Amino acid sequence: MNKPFFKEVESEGLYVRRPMERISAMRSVRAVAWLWLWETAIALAVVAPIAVALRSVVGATPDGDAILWQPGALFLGDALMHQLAAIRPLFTLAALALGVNAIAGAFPFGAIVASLAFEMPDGRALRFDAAALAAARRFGRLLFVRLVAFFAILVAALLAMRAAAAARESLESSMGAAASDIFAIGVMILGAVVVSVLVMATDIVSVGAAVEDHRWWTAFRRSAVIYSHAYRAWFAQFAVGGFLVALGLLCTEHIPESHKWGFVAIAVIHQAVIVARACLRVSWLAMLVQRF
Amino acid sequence: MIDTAPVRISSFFLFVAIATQTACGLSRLPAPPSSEPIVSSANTPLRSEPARVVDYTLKASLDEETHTIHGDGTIVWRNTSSVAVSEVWVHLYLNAFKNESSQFLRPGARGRGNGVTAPSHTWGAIDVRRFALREPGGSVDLWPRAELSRPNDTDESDARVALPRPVEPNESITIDMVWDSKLPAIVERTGFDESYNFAGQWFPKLARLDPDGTWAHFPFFPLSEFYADFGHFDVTIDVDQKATIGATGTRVDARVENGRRIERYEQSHVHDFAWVSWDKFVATDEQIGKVRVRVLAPRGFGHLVERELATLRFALPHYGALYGEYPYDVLTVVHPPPSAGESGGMEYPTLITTGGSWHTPPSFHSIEAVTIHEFGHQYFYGLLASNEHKWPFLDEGLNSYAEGEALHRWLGNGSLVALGPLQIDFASVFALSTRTAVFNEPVATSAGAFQTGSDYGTLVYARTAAIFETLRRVYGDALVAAALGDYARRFRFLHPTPADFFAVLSGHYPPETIATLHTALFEKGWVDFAITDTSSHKQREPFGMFDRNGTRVTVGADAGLADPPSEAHTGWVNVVRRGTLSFPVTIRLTFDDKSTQDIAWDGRDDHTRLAFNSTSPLAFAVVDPDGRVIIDQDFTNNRAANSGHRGSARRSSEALFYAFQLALSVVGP
Repeated sequence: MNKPFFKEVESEGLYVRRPMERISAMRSVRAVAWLWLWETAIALAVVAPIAVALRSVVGATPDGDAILWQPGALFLGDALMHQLAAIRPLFTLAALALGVNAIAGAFPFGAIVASLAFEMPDGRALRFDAAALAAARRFGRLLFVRLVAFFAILVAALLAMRAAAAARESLESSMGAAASDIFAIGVMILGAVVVSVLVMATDIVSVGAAVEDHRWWTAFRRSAVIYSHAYRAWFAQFAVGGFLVALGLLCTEHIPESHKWGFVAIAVIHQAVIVARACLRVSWLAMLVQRF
Repeated sequence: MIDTAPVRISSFFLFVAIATQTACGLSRLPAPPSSEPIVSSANTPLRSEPARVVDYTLKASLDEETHTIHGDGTIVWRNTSSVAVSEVWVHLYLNAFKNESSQFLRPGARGRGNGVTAPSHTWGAIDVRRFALREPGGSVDLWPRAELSRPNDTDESDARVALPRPVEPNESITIDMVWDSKLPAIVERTGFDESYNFAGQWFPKLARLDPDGTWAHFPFFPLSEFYADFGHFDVTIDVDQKATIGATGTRVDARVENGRRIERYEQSHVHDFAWVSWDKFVATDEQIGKVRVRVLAPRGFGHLVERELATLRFALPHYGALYGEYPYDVLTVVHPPPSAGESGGMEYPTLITTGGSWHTPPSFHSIEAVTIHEFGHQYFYGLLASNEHKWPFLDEGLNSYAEGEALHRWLGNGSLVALGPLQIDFASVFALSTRTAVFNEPVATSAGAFQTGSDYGTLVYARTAAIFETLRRVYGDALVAAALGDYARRFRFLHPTPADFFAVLSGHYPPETIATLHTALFEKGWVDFAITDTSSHKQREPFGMFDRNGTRVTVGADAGLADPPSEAHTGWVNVVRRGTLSFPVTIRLTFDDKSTQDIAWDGRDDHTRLAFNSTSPLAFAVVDPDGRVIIDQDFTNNRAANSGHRGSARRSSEALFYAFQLALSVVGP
């Protein structure tokens, strides 16, 4: 994607680097919008055919889909059995969407980072088209980082699973099944920590690759420095994100879903959680952008 | 009564609940029963003991190195039939694991699938050294003349022993035995795994002699279980002193001598004896009512032991109320180590084996289910000692129904899984799982005749349970409780047949229900209710040209007449019943103004057109809205929407949408 056109538009001053003090999620609503739009578009693409299938199942039922959630799960099981053929492709679709997200997600990621790192020459926030251009220009290098990270995470996860299985097998006869399983779970948790570190490092390197322009490899050098300061922020946004989900759950539990406005309220709360999580992620990325 | 109140959809509650329970290993005990158990209305007195037919006095010494039991002992057997017999049949079921020529292990044996149950390390066998009939003139060893196999079959699990003289009705004989039982590597119901030894079918056991003088004998089939006469067992077990023993019956003596643990167990009124020894068992004892319960489990399984005990605290009084009091003083529950899981989920008199990994979440009631299922076999197998080989639905099928009924009564609609909004009942799973298999073979097929293990499991266990659950839901709790309670009481300590079972049921259900039940069990019976058409329109006088009092009058919209102001509506619903089973059902009509109307239909005809009058147009029609006929082949065609009406899927769709958005926010971009 390193086409001359993009070099030219950038060099001609289509956008410029944003001053450090103005790099924040609060000042980059468009970055949040990029993230929310991307998640919503992918989710819509997956859920829309499922919703159509669901409607065909419960359309003749007075209570609609409430029948699927009746205690005992008789009607849910019945619907699944009769719609199994229709449902299978939807699983494929969901997997495909996740795959698309993993690869094509480099584009919105580039746009988000561009929206944080750059602005229009007159100081206004980066326009969507300019962010898109910047993202397209950085797509290749971001994709490369993603692929490397994916294989690193895969290897770490497989090694952790293998180590856990080996530990369990060797300890079962001496420690008993429960204790050896707990030991194996401990190994898996260690593996999960390694994976989370890799995920965090991927973000750092990706931001570096997006911000550092053509010398994206310098991101590797700076990542090590940044990493030592960033882990607290990463875990903080991870934990607060989880808390938001739980909070959303608590809020919606007491809203009467069968009421029309109850349904609207639940949907609004859900989207508020998604947007708040998007703000958290953008805020984390903004912190990284500041460091590069 | 079926609880059909809708529950909240909150998809993430599932995740949170699973994660929390799994991570923290919370040991939530099942709630106490929501109401008092149904007391069977059957007033049939309980038989206190069976006819004593066969007594075993055995000694078993386990060689831990070779996993071989050296046995000797005596059988005292009485001919309770009406004719003299000149032979006895002896089941040598460990020979099922001797080689791949046995009925159990031979390639292509029904129910074995791809041979997953073959011993993985070593073979097993039982070698009888002496089988001597005591006679006034001295003992005669009959074994040299025994026929271990038939001329056209190499299976050695069913031996015929000719007697030197006929044994007259009511005459007793005494047989002295010496034998060696080599346990196989753990395989289904028996065997060893390292220092764990489970001894099931470990001694030469007499087949049952039916009243007409016919021996009910059969080889050990993969899908088949057992059948034997009641009697008294007195068994002395000798194992390494480090091992803990669990066995059928009451321990009457225990000592340690020369590094060996020697314990003696006695039990009357039973028809089998099993035992287990392992040096890593942790024993937990509890008195539940009159029963001394002992649970043997591996280290680290304490929370599962508590779940098993909680299950029995519910099950003992519940089954006692429904099917008569548990008649024994003891019950031993064995939770095998994970590596010997194949010995789990099995029943013997006063000893059951359960199973499940230590991290089974409390919301998944598999631990409770296997415990209550195997305990239920103390009735449907133990006390009602039907021929498990010939009529497996009488033990496994009725027991599965009893299991589902008990779990539902105890744990409610989430009797299998209770995870936030997802409440899965055992009955639902039983019913839904049988829809294809029902066309393959009748439920009431002998174990050895089933074409596949899948058919056996699905039809015998699940289909029978679903059929009786349908009876319960359609005709009420009390009726099925009374019928099964009556059956369980009348045939306690006997060997009932399907004819006996139907004779009891005929006293509780009308002939047409009995006919339906017979079709369901013996004739691959099935049913599918459906709504095929609906009509709804305003009530008004007919339009058109009418000759009235010599004058032609035109009535209708084109004559400039508006519909009458009345809001009265009328119409009809067409309902069909496909299949060979019939049940009474309700058709629920829902109208535009949200009012409902229930119409009863006896379900005897193939179809019916039900007329209605209402104050609002018909919106929806549903046959069997509460899912009482749980064996209905297809519930999706039970519902119909009148034109212009659609049920909404927005809540589920929104929940899915939110869940997918969240997933994406975790993984990227």
